[in-house]
Amino acid sequence: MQLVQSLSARPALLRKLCRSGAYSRGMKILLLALLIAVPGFAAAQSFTLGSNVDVHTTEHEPLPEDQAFQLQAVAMDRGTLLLRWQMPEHYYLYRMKAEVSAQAPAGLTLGEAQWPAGKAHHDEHFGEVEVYFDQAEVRVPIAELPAGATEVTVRAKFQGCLEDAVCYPVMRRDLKIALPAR
Amino acid sequence: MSAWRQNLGIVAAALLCAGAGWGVGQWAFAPPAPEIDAGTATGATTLRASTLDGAPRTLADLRGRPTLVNFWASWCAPCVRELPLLDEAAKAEGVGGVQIVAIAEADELAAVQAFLAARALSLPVWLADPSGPGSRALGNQRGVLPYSVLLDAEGRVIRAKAGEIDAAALAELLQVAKNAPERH
Repeated sequence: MQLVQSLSARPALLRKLCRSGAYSRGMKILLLALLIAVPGFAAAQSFTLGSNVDVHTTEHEPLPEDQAFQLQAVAMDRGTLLLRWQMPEHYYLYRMKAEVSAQAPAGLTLGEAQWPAGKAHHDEHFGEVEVYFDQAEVRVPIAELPAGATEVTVRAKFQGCLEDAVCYPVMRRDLKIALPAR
Repeated sequence: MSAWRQNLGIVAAALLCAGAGWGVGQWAFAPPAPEIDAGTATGATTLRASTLDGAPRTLADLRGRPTLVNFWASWCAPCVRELPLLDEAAKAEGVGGVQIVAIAEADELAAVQAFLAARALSLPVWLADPSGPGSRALGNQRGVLPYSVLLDAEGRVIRAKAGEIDAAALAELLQVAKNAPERH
């Protein structure tokens, strides 16, 4: 450290060292040492973590629900809602476990949700099912809407898994959606 | 090529190797399935459960032997896949080894009973009280299933794991349980 401070304070000496090639050689040796040491250090760190019972490894930790199944909702017009689930790679949503229901205002009723075609999936419990990877975009018609309503609240219930790893219990989200004036 | 450019090349190579080294280290040594910090698990005794006959149970009932507690649900595919493996291990461990208990959560009693009726499983099965914290009391922050927790003979968490367990991971967990130092 003292050498670095000394060199920093004396730029003329630094330039001289560079010209002489001594600095360049020293730098190469330092970098070569780094080249060997850093990967070894990384591997050693992993080994230590892997053998420790109190390890906290975030690399494969399942995502929190709201990151695994990101849900957004908008009103396309006063007669149609659009719900969109987005999932990171390997996460999937069950079609038959997902539903959308009216919550508010009183008098709001929803028509049948229009689900896109999903992917066929064999499930140990549910059998042959339809699931969505990556994204599911669902149109939900508004069947009845009280006059003058400026927003609606719908409840989405859904369930999904991280492929070959974990499953999430039923998730419920109440979504408040602003309606266009007309 | 100037010395500075050469140095720049070496720096880039060093960073590349460091990244590769890190990647290889992760691939080679990271656990095969997600691990959750057992150190965050608190309030283990707040878990409330019952046998399928309705008899109340807590983790205190498991003290005296190292225990693998497996949280599962009948609707959870990876849980259902690993249960036979746990059942076999429970039989192999017998009365003197590591005890293995499967606690169903986020599930209905009738669904659990129907599931078990169709399978020949002999390991003890409990049902987590839906009004209690369930596996979250043992560090399952995401609430995902399956979730397995290794407890020492005094009921302290020594390892926790979110995700399906395969035969190798189970063997390692059981070995960890047997090697756990006794603490007084």
